[in-house]
Amino acid sequence: MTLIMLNAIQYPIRRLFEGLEVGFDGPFGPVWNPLRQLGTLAFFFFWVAAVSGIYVFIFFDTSVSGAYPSIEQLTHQQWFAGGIMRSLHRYSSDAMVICMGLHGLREFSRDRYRGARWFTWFTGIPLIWLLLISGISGYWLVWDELAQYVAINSMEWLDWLGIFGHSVAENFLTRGSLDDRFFSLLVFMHIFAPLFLLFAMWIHILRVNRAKSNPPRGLAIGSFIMLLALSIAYPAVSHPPADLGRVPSTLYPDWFFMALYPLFDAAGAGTLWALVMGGSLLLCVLPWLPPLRRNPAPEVYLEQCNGCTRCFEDCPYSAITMQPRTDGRPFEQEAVVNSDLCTACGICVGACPMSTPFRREGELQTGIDLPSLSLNTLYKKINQGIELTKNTPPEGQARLLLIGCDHGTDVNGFAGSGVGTVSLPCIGMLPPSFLDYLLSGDRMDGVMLTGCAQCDCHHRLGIEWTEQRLAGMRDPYLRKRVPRNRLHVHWAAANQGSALGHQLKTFQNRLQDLAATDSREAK
Amino acid sequence: MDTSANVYFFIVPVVVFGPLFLWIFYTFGIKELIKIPEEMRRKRRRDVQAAADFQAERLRKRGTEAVGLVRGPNTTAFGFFMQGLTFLWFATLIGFFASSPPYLYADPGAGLIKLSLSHAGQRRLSCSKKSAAELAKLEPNMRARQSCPRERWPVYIELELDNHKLFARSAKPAGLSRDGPSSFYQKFSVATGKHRLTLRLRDTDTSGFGFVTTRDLEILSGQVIAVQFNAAKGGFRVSVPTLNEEQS
Ligand code: HEM
Ligand code: SF4
Ligand code: SF4
Repeated sequence: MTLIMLNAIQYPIRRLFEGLEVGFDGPFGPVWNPLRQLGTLAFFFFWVAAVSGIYVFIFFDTSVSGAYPSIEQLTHQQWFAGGIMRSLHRYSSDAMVICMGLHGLREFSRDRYRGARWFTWFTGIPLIWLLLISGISGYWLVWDELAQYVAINSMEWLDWLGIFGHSVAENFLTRGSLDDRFFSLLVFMHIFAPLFLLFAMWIHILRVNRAKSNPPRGLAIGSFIMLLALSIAYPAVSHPPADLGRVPSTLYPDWFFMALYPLFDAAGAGTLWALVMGGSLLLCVLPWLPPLRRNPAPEVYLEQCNGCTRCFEDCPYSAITMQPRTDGRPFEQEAVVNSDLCTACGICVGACPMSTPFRREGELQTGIDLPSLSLNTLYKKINQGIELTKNTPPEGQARLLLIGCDHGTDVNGFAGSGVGTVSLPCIGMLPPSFLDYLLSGDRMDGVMLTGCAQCDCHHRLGIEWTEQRLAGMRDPYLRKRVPRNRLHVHWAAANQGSALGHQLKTFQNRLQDLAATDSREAK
Repeated sequence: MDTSANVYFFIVPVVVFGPLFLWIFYTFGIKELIKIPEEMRRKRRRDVQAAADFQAERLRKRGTEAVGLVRGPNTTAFGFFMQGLTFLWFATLIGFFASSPPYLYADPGAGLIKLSLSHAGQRRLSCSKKSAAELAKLEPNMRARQSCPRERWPVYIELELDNHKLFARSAKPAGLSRDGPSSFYQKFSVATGKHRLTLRLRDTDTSGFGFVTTRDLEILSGQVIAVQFNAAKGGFRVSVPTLNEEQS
């Protein structure tokens, strides 16, 4: 029941994202597509804010009376450097909020936060708090009318908890109330909150094997030029100086950080606390609402495992460790799976050199195998696919096998008229030797591989490893003897079925031409 | 204040205590949770190398072999143009919401009275001197000459504007044994113009008020009138900041 509700919420968001992502693939190319790089962009904007912040801080006067003039001077006398730095500092923080929001929403909509991924989701929640605290505390330092408004409201909000023994907001009661010591405290907050943020960002991606924390260079350059242009065209400026004897009337808030403040004015501290604590709590328990029905983690078969570490290298969630051998065979290590971290993607099966269809007798066995889709079952499915294409009348049509994954376009819809299909949990589960089996032995005219959208593998690394394996650059290699012209790869998102169908048709025609040339040459 | 001295004042603690702080946090909090085995670290380094090699190979063989079956970034003129448009749109979004739409916070036809005070009520029971006989019964280290029950009376405050009661509330003393000060923090939006403000405070169980203050005020637009309290300095203090009228 909860699952149906969850899907109903996720589905429209996911479709919206998918539509935009595919749209952006055109002008940017998948590699630079910002929607596929939201987490790394957030990191990038953090660094921009950090560097510009250090510059601004050098010229900042940390006293109550000196703060405002020092920033005014920076903005106007030094507009070409300090002014731009100030604007970069503001706008990169804003951009970070946008990227963070979209990134979290996107992971939610793609259901990439339940099961083994809960840790990454869970550690993302403090990032929301820390980023907002960092930004809001930054606005205090300007000590203009907006700072006054935000500071007083923030303190009143904190006072509601009654944990400080006396009112913090009292520090802002009259013109003489705010002293340099308290103001220094605010400055410290603005320095420590981002430090904690960075630390928490590090923890956030800790469990993610080979997490990408830098955007591709082209995208980084583009984003930076954007920030720079915005900073020059529309420099950040201050409100009139703060005056505790007067209530500021019209404010121009930074809504990325201050969206909740009007709510505080309207509904009060208690309501806002209830809302943000309730919201945070909801986010915290979301991965278990409902818990993911996980497929069982792979099992290691020691009689096949020689401790080569390839599965350990390729697992996208660091779920495999290499440990000392326990069965007395003359190898140093063996693979051990930590099922808590595993998403049952099967990439390790595709990495194991023992995963090969070339067996003389008996069932296929490999070093590491998925209980939900064993290598032997995969083998049978592939053979079924072969048989299927034999049964459909060929009419001189090329026969090919389309292998895809459960998260991209549904490949089963393309079965028939010479096309057999197999769907895997992740395309990275396919051992390259199976391509050898299909193509070298002439069991099929061609094989087409697909998966998720390029740069957006649901299991993070399946596409990358597949490409590297096919290119002969990552173990296990696709053998050289496999005719590359009979292999076609086309990555497609779930909503790119028609493009995939088109590619499939083109490839099939090409295979036919190939066959025609071959037979002519044979004569 | 000298700016350069300030910089060191902040940077030194951050440089010294920042890492220390993080280290303590790391060691006692989450070390176990986030331990990365050396093996895994080596693996990550290798992976980075492999990816770099792959990229290089892809560039080298682009268009000739299977490496680079995938699409690279769009570097055509049209691509750059569309990227520029996208960035322009994104920048507009950031630039716009970074300082608009405006938010009308204060009503120009009103000022603000802020009541912010903290005052400890009287003790519920006054202290009593112990007799010599009573003292002798106690342990030597417990022989305090006076016994003072710590609990205090709540503080009750009334704020009256033009004979109209805006606020009347009593606040319990803070602390588990109810021996701390009672605190109030309240804001009242008040129409501009002449007003008579009366403040009353009671901190015992008697009827009547220990402190009463009346002030005639001419409240200006946006003015913040602060009401504080200090029993030692004679009770309520009403601060009325002077505002430069032309400014508003
Ligand atoms: C400062 C803000 C944030 C930054 C810089 C950030 C960055 C990242 C990065 C670099 C990754 C790894 C991507 C990869 O290489 O596969 C990631 C993954 C993830 N993030 Fe964030 N993130 C932020 C905030 C959040 C928030 C607020 C949430 C949600 C509450 C969130 C949820 C996730 C999830 C669920 C994943 C895991 C995806 C997976 O395991 O496949 N992140 N994030
Ligand atoms: S199935 Fe995927 S997540 Fe699980 S151990 Fe294998 S590679 Fe790692
Ligand atoms: S890839 Fe296969 S053989 Fe190598 S360590 Fe893993 S399970 Fe063992």
